[in-house]
Amino acid sequence: MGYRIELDVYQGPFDLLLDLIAHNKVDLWDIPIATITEQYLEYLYSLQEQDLAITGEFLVMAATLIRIKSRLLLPQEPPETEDEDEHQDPRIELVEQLVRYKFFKEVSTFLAGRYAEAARHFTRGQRMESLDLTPEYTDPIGDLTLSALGELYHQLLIELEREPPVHTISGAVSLPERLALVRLQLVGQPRATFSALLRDSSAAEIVVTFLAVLELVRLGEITMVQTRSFGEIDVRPAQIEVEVRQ
Amino acid sequence: MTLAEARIVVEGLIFASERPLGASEIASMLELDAPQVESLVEEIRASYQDGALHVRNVGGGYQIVTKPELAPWIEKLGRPVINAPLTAASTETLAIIAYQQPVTKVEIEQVRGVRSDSAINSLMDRELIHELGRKEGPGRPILYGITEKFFSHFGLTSLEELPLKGISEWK
Repeated sequence: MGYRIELDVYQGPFDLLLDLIAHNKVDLWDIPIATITEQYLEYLYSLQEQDLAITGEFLVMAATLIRIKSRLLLPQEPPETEDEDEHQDPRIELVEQLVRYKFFKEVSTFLAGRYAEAARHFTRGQRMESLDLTPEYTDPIGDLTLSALGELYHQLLIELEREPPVHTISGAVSLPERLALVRLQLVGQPRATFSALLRDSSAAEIVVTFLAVLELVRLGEITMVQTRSFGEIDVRPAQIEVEVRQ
Repeated sequence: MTLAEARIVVEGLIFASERPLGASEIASMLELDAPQVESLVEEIRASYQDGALHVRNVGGGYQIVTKPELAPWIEKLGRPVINAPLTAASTETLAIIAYQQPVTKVEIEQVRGVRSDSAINSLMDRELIHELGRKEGPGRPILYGITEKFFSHFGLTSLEELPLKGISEWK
């Protein structure tokens, strides 16, 4: 005899098992494992027939039920007094889980009732809040018409057909600007290090700063001294040296 | 200030406050003691007998709300957003958190027998639960607990109002 099951209402394998137990009108503490296992598997098959996905949790429970069923079929060894745990009812662990789940399921029914009841009371601010929330649910498409959408798509296609640039030069760093900046950094300083001039610079800025420094050397405004390969470069304003010589 | 005057102030405070106000909180503002405030609130409640309002006690705080029989009318003002329906998965998860807090996701999933990420996320979004810290041990999992909002959304005064029937069978 098959058991018709309403679909989509089970929160998980525990929920399904509790329903089967209630439907069979059996005691939770004395579950007829063979019957329940059979009905449980039938439910999974019915899901399969309707091409519904069976989540892993349901399969794990099926395995658990089959394991318990087979353990119940095996002849029990005579209990060796001390070792109580070894010979306990193989259903007990599952039953404890079910009892615990059943409790919380009942509490959740209680909470759902309270929630519905509390929702019938309104605080002063609550309405306002719900009205304030309306902009969040505005239609994201807005006034967009089909022809406007077609136009956007057309523009997008033109963008895509355009050749991507090979080089992009950012206008952010110019040589005259860097020249001015390096001069400014050297005002009143007897010397500076090249790395100090580069502080917080991007790759492009480093290049331009280096060009600016070379330009200042060419103009005779500064001298550069590097004492060893790859070492720090000292930048000295030329006027200082002139003054020293005098 | 006479007690009659204080009663009016208490009513004003509860009405104007955005969150439920506790008796001791009101008491400290008015230099009264908490039992005095409680009896004033009872008087206010009684004065609402024939009116539209009701003083509700949620999570240990007072809140002035409309009477439930007005709900069909008030709902004409707009769809309630705050009390959007909770899924069964969310309510189950919330029940477990309310009783077992601080509790980790894995502990919740052990009770429910199914993954509970989306239920937890939805409860977090609704601010019905929050993170209480992290559990010592491998992975230091997040510990969840219920918030103040839980009480007002469920019209509960304290956790003691939650049912205990059947709890001894597994505890």
